[in-house]
Amino acid sequence: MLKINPEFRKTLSQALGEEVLFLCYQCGKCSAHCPVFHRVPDRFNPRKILEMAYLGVEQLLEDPALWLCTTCYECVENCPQTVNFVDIIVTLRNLAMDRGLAPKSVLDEYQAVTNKGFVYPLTGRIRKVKEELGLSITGDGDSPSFQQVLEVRHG
Amino acid sequence: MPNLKNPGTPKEEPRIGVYVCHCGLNIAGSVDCESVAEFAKTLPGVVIARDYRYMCSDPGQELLKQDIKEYRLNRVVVASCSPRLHEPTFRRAVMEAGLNPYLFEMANIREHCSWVHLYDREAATEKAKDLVKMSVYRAYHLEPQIEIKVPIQQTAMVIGGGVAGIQAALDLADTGYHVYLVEKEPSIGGRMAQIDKTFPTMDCSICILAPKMAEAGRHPNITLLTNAEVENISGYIGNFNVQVRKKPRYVTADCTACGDCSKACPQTAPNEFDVGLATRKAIYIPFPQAVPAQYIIDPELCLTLSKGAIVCEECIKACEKKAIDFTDQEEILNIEVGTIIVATGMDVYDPLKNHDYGYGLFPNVITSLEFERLINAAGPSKGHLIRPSDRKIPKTVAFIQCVGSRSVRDGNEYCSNICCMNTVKDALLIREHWPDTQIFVFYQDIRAFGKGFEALYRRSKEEGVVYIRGLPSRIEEIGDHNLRIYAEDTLLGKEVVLDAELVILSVGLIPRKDRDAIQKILALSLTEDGFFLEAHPKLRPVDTAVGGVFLAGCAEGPKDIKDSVTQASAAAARAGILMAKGEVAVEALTPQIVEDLCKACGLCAKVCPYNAWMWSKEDRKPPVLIEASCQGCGTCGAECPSDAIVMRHFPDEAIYAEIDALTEENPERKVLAFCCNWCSYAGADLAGVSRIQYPPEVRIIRTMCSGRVDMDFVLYALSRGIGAVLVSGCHIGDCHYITANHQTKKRMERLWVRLERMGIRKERVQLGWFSAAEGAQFAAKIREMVEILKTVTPEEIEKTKEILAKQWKVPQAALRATAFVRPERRMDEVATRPSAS
Repeated sequence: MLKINPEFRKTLSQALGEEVLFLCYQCGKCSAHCPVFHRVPDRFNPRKILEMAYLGVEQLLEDPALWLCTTCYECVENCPQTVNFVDIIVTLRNLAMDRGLAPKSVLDEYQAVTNKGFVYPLTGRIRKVKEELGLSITGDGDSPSFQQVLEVRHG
Repeated sequence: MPNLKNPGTPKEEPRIGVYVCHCGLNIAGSVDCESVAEFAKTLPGVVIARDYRYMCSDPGQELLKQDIKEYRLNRVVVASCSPRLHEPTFRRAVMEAGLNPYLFEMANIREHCSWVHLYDREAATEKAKDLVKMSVYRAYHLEPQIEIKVPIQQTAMVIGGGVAGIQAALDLADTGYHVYLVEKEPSIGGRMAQIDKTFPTMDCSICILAPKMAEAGRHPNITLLTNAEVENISGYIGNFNVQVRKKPRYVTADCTACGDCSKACPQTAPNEFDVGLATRKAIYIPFPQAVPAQYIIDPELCLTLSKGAIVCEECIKACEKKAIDFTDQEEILNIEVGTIIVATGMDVYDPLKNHDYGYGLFPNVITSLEFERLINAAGPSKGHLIRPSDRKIPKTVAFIQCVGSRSVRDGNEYCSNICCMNTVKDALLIREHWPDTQIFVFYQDIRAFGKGFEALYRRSKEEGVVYIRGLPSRIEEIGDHNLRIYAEDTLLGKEVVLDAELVILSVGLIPRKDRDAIQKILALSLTEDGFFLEAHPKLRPVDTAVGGVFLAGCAEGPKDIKDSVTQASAAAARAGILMAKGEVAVEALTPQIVEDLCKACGLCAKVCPYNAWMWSKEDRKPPVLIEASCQGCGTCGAECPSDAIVMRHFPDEAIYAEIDALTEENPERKVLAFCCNWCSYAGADLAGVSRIQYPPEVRIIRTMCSGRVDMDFVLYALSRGIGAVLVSGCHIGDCHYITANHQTKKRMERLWVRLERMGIRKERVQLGWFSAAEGAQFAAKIREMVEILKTVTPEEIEKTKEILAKQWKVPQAALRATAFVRPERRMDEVATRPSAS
């Protein structure tokens, strides 16, 4: 069962703007255009994510579906009501991160970025090129400027 | 009688009654009405102040009448809703108590206060007090006025000959009034003539329309002007002069519509009536039932007419009745009418703009209007529904709903009202013609709200029409020009694919592309959707803000045939009421001239949009007003450099008095907004009705037109320490007084230069245009004004005052206005104004 949480709805309304939430008519054009939906319709449906956001279903933040969107903008391009689904998904991901509700793989990546400044470990070839160019190979995870960027992200 | 001798000088001692209406909780919910009434008692001239639950109710009005007698009131202020709503009600009430209706004044504490400051009771109450004070100060300067009555011509004009126009014309003609029915196309009939069947009864459209068309054609009280366009309209309620351009037909009334000419004609073009699906000749009749049943020549297609020399005369040879006349000329007709009904209809959305569904690319993707012609017995396929690519009967047909409707992206946010039922009807029609055809409808909501609609929707389901909830993402052409439709069935949450042989786009209705011409000629307002705006959405749904002009049919908004006919009859009744009365009282808002002050410069004559001031350069005499031409915008009054013009009911003194009232306390924390009666004041009312919240710092002064706003009004407000001023009116081109707001614009530009030169920040004085439909935009502007207000420091205000004290002279009228509250001024400062003529 999905629980409608009025408080969470208020949070979303403030974060996204009420207009973004009510514009949707659930016409289904976004999902019909969505490449991810075409592959895994049971796991990702932008229309349903929007409906859950509209209702204020807090479980949405735990839903791994949030992390399946490729932000390709097909839905945004084709929405008759000009709903910016990509903005919405990014906001929802940020909320999920803030509450530590993102999937472990995402949290691990986040840790990797904040610690090292790299998402993926350096391969030998990249390391070589970097050394040739005189770039740091330890990552910038602890540099003050990098931390600053993260802070800005948190607003 | 108005005090012509000394307008503006103190007359009898004011005895003002103030009535603060609760309007149930509409006002009392956010405004402490009792304390407003208590406050009113402290104002100069106020003899009695009360608060009451519903002032507009019978007991409320009774209370007012009793008080007028008991307390010998000579001015009445009601603080309630917008004067645009109840001013006539209260004017009648005070009149019944023996008071001149022009001695009544209204403070708008609902639309402009309680409804827009719902959650700030303290600020709303303070503002309401200010508004009441402004009205009391203004009331003192009101004078009794006599309204002149103008006769109403007993003829009407209906613009547009669709079903709405025909119905309105017939109703008026049957009542006994002569009607001119003007139609742009060669035949009346409009969109309804193009449609095959009508919902929800499925009866034949032309079968029920043709008798009405014929009746309109032969009615002794109807003059049919087809192939004709309204060029210009001058005049006012009851007395319009309409210029109609009647284009040449090149075929005389002797035509029997036998069609021999058409058979002989060698020139061919797409037939507009069949939406380009069939052809017609250069000499043609749009459709068999056309009224007048008279052929017409397309001059651009005809070999002879387009070349300007006789190169072909096949039609002349073929015509036994000798009805063809190549020398036919365009005519300009001048027609005097008392009332006008605008029934100009709509256009259909053009899906070429919408690339999703391949319209224009794939031959078997058609619009619902094209479908009507394809299924119609008189259409290009003789009523056999065939698909365009190969003329085969389609086995699978898909409809797609909301094409061009309910879409922010396509610019039409509204629901087009008819498409759902039209599709249900069309689906049933296909099943009637080809029972084996499978029909699918892609929709987002089915709106079957009318009488008999749900039953028809149900019937279509019984007939096997399948409804899929979800708008397709795209359509691909597969082999044989068949179409593959991709969509999400939103109820399943799965992608579905359907192969169809014909796709019908259910296109929405849009405002007519040539709407602007009529809108500008008549100075009508538009809704945000672009349809004509009614005077009141519920209580005056077929009136416009322009007296004597009414609306019918889709010109007012998308609607079906039944609603168009209903509205047409209503419009005819409204126009008929006016004409039956025979005369109408015109508000006494015209100016008077004080000849001793007039320097005969002629500026008033120059700025008047109606040429109502008679003045000649040679005479150098004060101008003379043509009362019947003047509409009372007040632009002359604002422009007059010697303040020699006194606007009835809106004299300078009254406006200065209002400014005085609102600047008495904390003027630096206030925004003064001048709003014109027709657009921006109505827009502010709409913000109220829509409960759009905006900051409470604003105080609105109503003038009939923004053209009335004298530069001195703004300077006076600044000299009194106001924080910011907004002057607002109708959009340029939409002015109720034709071009009066052009003067506003010019004047404001001059004012900004002047302010800059004096060293006053010109950002503090803003100009804004808002239509009656732009409540949200008005509210947004007020928010912006309050942001500006925040940047104004007390030092800046003081400096402004100093600058103005040195460089600007307070007008006499302002001194007279303030004498009311500051009696000491009456003696030493105020020169009595010389007598008016």
